Amino acid sequence: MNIIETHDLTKYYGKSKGIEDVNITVKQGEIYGFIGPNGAGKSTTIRTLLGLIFPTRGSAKIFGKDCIEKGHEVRRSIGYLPSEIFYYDRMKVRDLLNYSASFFEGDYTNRINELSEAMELDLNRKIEDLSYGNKKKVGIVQGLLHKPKLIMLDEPTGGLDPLMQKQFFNLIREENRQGATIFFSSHILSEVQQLCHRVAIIKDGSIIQVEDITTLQKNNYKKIMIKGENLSKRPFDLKGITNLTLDNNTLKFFFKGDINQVKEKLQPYKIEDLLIEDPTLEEIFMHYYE
Amino acid sequence: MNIFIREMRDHRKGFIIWSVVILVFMVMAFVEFEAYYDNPEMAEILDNMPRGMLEAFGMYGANLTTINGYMSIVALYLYIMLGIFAVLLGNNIIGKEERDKTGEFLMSMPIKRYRILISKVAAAVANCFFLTLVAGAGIAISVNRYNPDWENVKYILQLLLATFLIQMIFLSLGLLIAASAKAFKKSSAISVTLVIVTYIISVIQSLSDSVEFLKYFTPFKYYQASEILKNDGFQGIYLVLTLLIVFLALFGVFFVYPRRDMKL
Repeated sequence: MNIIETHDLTKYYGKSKGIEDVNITVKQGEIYGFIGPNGAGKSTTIRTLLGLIFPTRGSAKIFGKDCIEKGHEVRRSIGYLPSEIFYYDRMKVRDLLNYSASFFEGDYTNRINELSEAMELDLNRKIEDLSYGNKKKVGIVQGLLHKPKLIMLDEPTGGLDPLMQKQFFNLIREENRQGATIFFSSHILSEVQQLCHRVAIIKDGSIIQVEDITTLQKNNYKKIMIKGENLSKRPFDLKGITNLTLDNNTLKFFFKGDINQVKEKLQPYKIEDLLIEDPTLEEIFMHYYE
Repeated sequence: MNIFIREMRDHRKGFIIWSVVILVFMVMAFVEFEAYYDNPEMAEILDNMPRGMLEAFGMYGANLTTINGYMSIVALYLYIMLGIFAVLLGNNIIGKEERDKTGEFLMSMPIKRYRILISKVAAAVANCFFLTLVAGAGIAISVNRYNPDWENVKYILQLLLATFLIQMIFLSLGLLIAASAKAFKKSSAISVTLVIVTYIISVIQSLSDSVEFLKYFTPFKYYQASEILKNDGFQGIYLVLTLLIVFLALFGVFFVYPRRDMKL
């Protein structure tokens, strides 16, 4: 069963384009990555699915129901974590979470306590006194407290320290294991790779590719920078190396393939510095789709 | 119900501040009344003042030496103050969700927007009603020592009802402005301007007979205190107009807001 299904979903803000003809399907039980640079239309897509804004054209179904017409029903089973958290400043964390719970049938006191413990969240503080990261934690607890079947995360890791991030990912994996479908938007490739099964790449408001995460990893470029004396371009004229530049004793290139090949070529040189990193998303867009 | 309670709590602080201001105003107004009460000399001084000035402050033709005459002037200030309260409240209760970006939370809850609106409107009406009661309490405390008779009490109750109805007009317009405005900052400025402009229209209308028709464009004329005193009640046409404005404005709110893109 498809949890999310969009048909030519399009949103214009006046004349400026938000998203155009977005067609995605998210299957039950998936962790679906939604990746793209800032301003690509990730939040626009999510907000349209949630009925915060209305599509200019096209439609979307969640749990098989129209997300605008039946929005209030659909949202009973959605947990949403926005990229920036804004709550009623003067409320205490506990009151805010209880208020959120009051929109759903049932008693969620235990669940609130469990989640807060997992995220090390102090329930007695006022929202306005919380740091960015702590607000994020409130958002996480608030988004998950009603055991949603679909969890929508919009750039969720910003402001969380690495330890909390790990804890959060564990929480998300656990929810997924128990049957929740996850829609995970991010501009950070590595965290999407870490968590997701399938990834849609969005750029300038359009989906340019939907891939299995394994495929994406297989095609994984590395960005390599070597600093050292007497380096020259010639030995590095290998298959799998692109965008080779030599400048100021620094050799830079993208590489896809067996890293041992590069290692061998480096043998004769005395290296001052070596950096191998994941390319940024922009760089992937530029080279991956040539 | 949860949203209603939330809104009542959220506006409690503002409500208390407004209550204090209105009570202080009432006490001060009636300290002043001491100088006028049963004092024919004062009446004479006022009679010699230029008509334009008296009209502007709603004092023309009022006998300030009696409770009812004095109340007819106090009423105007009550209308303006509580009118501003209502228009700001209406504007704020809708606009704050986008101003504070809390709409992202509230609108992603499993509830239809019109139900959110119902709770918000109910909370706003309740706030207006209670503030009218506070004003009434302030008047009761202040007037009590002048031994008011039934005619005084009746007139004060009429003025309070008028105050509440004026609040309903401005509240519904404040809601409508917030629901249709692009940005909150603009909408609150427009809202307050609305009260001031309608007040100025009412003054202009009093000063010149050639713009008689303007009386239909300002709620301050619908419930002009001196007219209520003269007619011993409200005029049907204005009650109909009040209902019409409130109904149309609310219709607009319930039409526009559920279709509105949250600006977050």
